[in-house]
Amino acid sequence: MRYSIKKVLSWFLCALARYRLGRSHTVVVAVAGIVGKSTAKRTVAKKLKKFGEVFVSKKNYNTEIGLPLTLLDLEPPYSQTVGEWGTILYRAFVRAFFSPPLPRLAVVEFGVAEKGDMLQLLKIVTPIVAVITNISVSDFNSQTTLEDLSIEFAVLAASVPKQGLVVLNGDNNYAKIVKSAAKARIITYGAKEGNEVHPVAPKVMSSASDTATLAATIISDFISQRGTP
Amino acid sequence: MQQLAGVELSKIKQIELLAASRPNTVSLAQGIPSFDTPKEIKKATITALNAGRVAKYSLAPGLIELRELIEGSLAEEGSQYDAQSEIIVTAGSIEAISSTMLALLEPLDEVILFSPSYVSYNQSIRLAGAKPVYVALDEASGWQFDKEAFLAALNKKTKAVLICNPNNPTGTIFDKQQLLAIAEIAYDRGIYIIMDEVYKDFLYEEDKTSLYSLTQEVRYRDLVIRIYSFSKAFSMTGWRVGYLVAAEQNARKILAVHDALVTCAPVISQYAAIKALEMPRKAWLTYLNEYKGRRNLMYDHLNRISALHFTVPSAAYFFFPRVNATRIRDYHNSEMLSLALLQVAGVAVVPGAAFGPSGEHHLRLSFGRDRTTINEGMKRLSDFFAAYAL
Ligand SMILES: Cc1ncc(COP(=O)(O)O)c(C=O)c1O
Repeated sequence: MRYSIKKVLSWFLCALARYRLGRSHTVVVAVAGIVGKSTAKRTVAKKLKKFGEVFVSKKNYNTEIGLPLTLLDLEPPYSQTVGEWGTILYRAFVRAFFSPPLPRLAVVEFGVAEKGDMLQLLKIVTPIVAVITNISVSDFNSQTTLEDLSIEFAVLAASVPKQGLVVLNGDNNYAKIVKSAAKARIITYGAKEGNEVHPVAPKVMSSASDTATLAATIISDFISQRGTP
Repeated sequence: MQQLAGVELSKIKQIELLAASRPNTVSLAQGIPSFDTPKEIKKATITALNAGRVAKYSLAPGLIELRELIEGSLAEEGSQYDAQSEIIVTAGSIEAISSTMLALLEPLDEVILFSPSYVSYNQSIRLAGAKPVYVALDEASGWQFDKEAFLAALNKKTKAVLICNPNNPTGTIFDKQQLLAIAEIAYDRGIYIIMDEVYKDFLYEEDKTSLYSLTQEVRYRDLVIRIYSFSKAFSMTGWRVGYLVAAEQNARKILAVHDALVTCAPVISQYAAIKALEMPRKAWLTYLNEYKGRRNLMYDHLNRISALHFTVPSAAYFFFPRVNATRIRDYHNSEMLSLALLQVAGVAVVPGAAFGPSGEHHLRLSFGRDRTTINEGMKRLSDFFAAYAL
């Protein structure tokens, strides 16, 4: 897709998704990281079910086009033809204004591959809670370094309002950068010394589901203290 | 190298090689989809290629984005596996199978294989220095699992059972009840259950729209290895990409072998696989309907050949007719018959014996090929049987 068309499209979808989120008064938990964000997304969503219905973003639709679409209960067109896009835009418009509101809680996945991606995503949603899973291993494309990406996660941490919460895997090499950016309360979890929350079993947390469970518990405690809107 | 004793080029590939050396041969032998890879997948791959994402190795278990998508698709059907430590993207499913064998078997271990089932299992097992042990499926019940025969084949050396579901070459679907029966026996004895589900989406009966998998049971988690390939459903045999799913301690061992064999699956193909997983059900149904049409077409042809008896496959894309020896002049066995079909009639089929002892006196005919090929191949087959009829 041509760059300019993509920009216009993303602006339009973003406005529609924001509108739907706004009229639904949804509290958004954003899950980001390089590794383990899908697992974390599902684990957190499962845990939050006890507070009521939870919206979960679909598949890996976590970009500036995919994220607004999933918030409008749509999927990016598989074939990317003009006709398909036409139908989708029409539906997006109808859903934004006329579909039932989203649940009060939403867990959405944020995907960043390059510098600047996070700002685009933050134009769509302002999370009250941000979870940052793993920033340590990557097979990302050559142009983007881990430092670049950790700055993206710092941008996310900074965007969370004061009364919100940032949940950070403190075992990340880049945790410091992210930590210093946050103005909200920040809770770090992980196996290493210095983290606030540790796994129950004193083992190295290798699997994404171990870490996801820790993050989910922290968030669940936070929501239960804060109350759902 | 001792391991290689008995590892030989599969009969399918041998027939293909012979067929390739003979002009004008029509092949119903290899199980390759006739379609080109869907254009959406090609387009997404080109985008990744042009963006400079495919030049480097991925992590050994594959691109995390792809693994997380796989994890999500498994979670949707009720199988909980961790993208980071329990999913490995492989260079096709055969690499997944061979890596699994090499990682989990010791020399002289025995692996139960159903007969008939996919030819290359035998070589994969031998490659690991282990011994394939065939257990016959019950032809009379449409090639279903025979519990007695299975129990009789087990002994102290049995280390794994390999289930092809749906089964190549018979198109049999092993249902939940049968799989649980196998799993319980395996569980009692601590035998690995390796499941090859490359045809999991090729289901033709209206009341069976999805396949039950043992990965859905937490009880068997430590024993189950589930294997899938993008080759068949997405017409991607040449891309060499598939994946396997296993509990962490097994995945770790398999990963070491995978890393030693291929480092990682081709990265360009991994990007293709990401797009493939986004294919909507509706798009797949168009393909499935076409395969169903071809199945009916082959059925009509086969029905007119009185020397061949067959059941209609519920899945995959093969017919596996039994040859009625009393109706054919000079008949010896399936291999000789296949050679004669190739040399006299110019049609390549796979001799049933290639799939295990109980495959003898059968032929495997693929309807993965286009209708013109099916029509021409079946016409040649039918002319041959007419000429050699007793
Ligand atoms: C049952 C079965 N398993 C595995 C394979 C291997 O497929 P690939 O290595 O292309 O994934 C095939 C191919 O014919 C097959 O039929």
